[in-house]
Amino acid sequence: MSHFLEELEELIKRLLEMAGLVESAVHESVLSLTERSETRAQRVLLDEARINQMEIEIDDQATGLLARYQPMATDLRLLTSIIKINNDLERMGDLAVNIVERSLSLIRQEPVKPLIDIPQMARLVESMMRRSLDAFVKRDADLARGVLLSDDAVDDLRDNIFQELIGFMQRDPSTITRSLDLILVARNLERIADHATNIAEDVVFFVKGIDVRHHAETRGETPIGGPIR
Amino acid sequence: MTLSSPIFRKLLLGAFLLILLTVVVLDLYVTRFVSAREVDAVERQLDSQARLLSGEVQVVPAPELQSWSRQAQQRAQSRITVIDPAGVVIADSERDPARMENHAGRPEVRQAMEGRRGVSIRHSDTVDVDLVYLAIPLTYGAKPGHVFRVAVPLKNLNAAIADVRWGILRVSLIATLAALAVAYFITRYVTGRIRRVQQFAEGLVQARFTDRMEPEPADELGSLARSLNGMAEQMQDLIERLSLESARREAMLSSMVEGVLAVDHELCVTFCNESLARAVGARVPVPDRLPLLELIRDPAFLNLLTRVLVTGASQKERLQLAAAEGRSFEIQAAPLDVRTRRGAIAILHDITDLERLERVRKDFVANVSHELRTPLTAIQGYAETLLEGALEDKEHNRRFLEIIKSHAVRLNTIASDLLVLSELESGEAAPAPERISVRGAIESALRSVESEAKLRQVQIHCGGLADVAVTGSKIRLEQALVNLLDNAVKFNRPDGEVWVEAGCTAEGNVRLTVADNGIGIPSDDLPRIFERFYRVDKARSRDVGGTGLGLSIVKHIVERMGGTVSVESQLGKGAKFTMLLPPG
Repeated sequence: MSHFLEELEELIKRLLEMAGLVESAVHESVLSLTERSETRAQRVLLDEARINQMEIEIDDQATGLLARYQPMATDLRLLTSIIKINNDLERMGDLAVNIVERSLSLIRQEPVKPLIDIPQMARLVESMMRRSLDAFVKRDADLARGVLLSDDAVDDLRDNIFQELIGFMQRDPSTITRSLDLILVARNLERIADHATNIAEDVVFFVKGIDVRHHAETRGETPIGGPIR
Repeated sequence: MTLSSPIFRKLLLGAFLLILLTVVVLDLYVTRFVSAREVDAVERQLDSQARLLSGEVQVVPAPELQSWSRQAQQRAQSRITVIDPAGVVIADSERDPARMENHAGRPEVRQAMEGRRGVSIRHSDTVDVDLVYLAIPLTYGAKPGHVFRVAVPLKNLNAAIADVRWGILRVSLIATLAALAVAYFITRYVTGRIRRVQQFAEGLVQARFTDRMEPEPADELGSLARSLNGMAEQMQDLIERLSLESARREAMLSSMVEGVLAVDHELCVTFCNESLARAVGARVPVPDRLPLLELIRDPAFLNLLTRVLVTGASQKERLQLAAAEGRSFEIQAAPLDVRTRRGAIAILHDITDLERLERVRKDFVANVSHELRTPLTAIQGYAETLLEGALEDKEHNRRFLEIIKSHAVRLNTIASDLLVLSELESGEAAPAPERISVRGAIESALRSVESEAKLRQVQIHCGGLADVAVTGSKIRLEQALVNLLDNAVKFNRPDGEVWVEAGCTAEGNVRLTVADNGIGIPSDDLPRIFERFYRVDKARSRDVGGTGLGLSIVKHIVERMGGTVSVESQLGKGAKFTMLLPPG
């Protein structure tokens, strides 16, 4: 195996390691809210530093590879995808920290209502993350396309949660802070889903060489850079 | 092919050297033999000439001796020399005797002076040829002690030897060619056999253990071939046993319900059984040396295996794996040393269902205590009130006692429901199955709820009762129907309606439905209503005397009869329970 491929494999391993950390951070952040567990929240805050560190390392490694080997075609697409996914993962980590901050404030107060929609939304978002990363691992464009379709469901759930919480706030102004916290949690979850969608789009681009960003799919598939090897 | 073979070249070189040696020895021997024969012939010729001429010379007077010798040379083709007893040459056919040195020292002359025949072969500087000298004693002028010598050059000898040499060369050339041909054929035969053995051995190297060699002649190569055949047989046997063994192990590991995963020191997967591959949604079979990260990304799991790899100690942990859609596993990880390289093996036991059961059991105990506490607290409270003086209070004492009684009844109902449930669960004391007429069971169940229905002004419609039968316990089936009808009546509104139907499905199963147009069940609660003590509306359930066990009992009874029960409902529009039972 060439040096380039060896280093690329090492880079992918690092990226997946980071992905695991981020997935776990998101999962724990939601659990900290549903289980009202401060230890879980602390765990996410601890992992955040590690995630940021890894992002910088992966970025350096990836740009180093680009500069030293000037890869072409699939390898180039893979490298650019890695750089983008790396960026998305780091943002997801930040959003998990945002959720944890909201959850830390919520834990100290009486619950507004039993949490039903948020855990459901979290499950969907986590599944999107997992599927988009699995699609990257398996280089499976169809799996990635499936993630793109889930995005609307997440948006619908977020709208439901907003509606419901706005109702609470109107009826009982004393719930406003807590409701706003929950709204922010939903908002952060929805943004995590957006990043998962970005990853899925990157995967489709890297596997098929097709740009599906900004719903390009509905305008027909646009192959980039000629035949795909 | 044969010509380039090193064996052929060596064999040929050997033959050539052998031939060369023979030729050299032969040449030496023949040369010596031929020259000896030639010298012998010359000697004989000289001998007879000498004897003849020595007779002639005795009568030649001394002054004419020189001229005679010249004339005799003409005849004999030999050089003729006459020497006196002092060794002085008195006549020579080729040179002036006066100029010649004393010949007494010459070997042949010395021998002749001693009265014998002397022979000598010497190189003559004067004529530059090898000369054979023969000398005999001569009595000249009545004086003995003279020597008569004849000499001829040996020029014929070299020609004779050259002839023989040429012959030898021709013969050895032919022999060399013959040796070449023989070497070629022997080499071809031997190298052919060696090549077959070699190809067979190479086959063994490439693991073709089923091949066998043709029988070979019984020499060293043949026995080598037989040994190789034996080796191949043993290896085939060994490989078959090993592969059988490994197939058996593979089958065992694959059929295990638990996930089995082995990784090497770099956290690359070396084995993953089907159960685990399916749980994490990987393609089967998992490619060899797939990085574990491509299978399972959960940091806690990676941590666990890394710990095992670093410390070399077994670890046990309960983890929820995101890779397996959040299922919980009890993971036992142990080091796995393969040839000095440390790896790790993990056995993943899916405990998701176990954890759920544990939770259900915990909930159940909590629920039972709670259910029992409520009536007991009421009984205790009212009994205390009565004891503290209310007993004398004519206005309230009776009402208090009635409340105590109703709670005692409730406790009794809960206890008997729990008993039924535990009976159903344990399977003990089940009456022998009998053939039950569904119509009969429905009619008797209807009688039990008649009064309650009348009280709540609920109309029960009983239509389309097909004449079907099922097998099981009659009392149990009636109880299930009563529970469903009771719910349909109680969770209804005044002027509500209930429909009971019995029929057959297309598959031949018996279908019993109890439907109402009452208050219905919220969709969130639908999946849980068959759980013990699960109540949609706790307050209302207690008001109507429910224990929270009714539907749980229905589910158990139906399942004991080998059927299923399901529910459809819309909030505010009623509910419909359907039992599907195998025909009796």
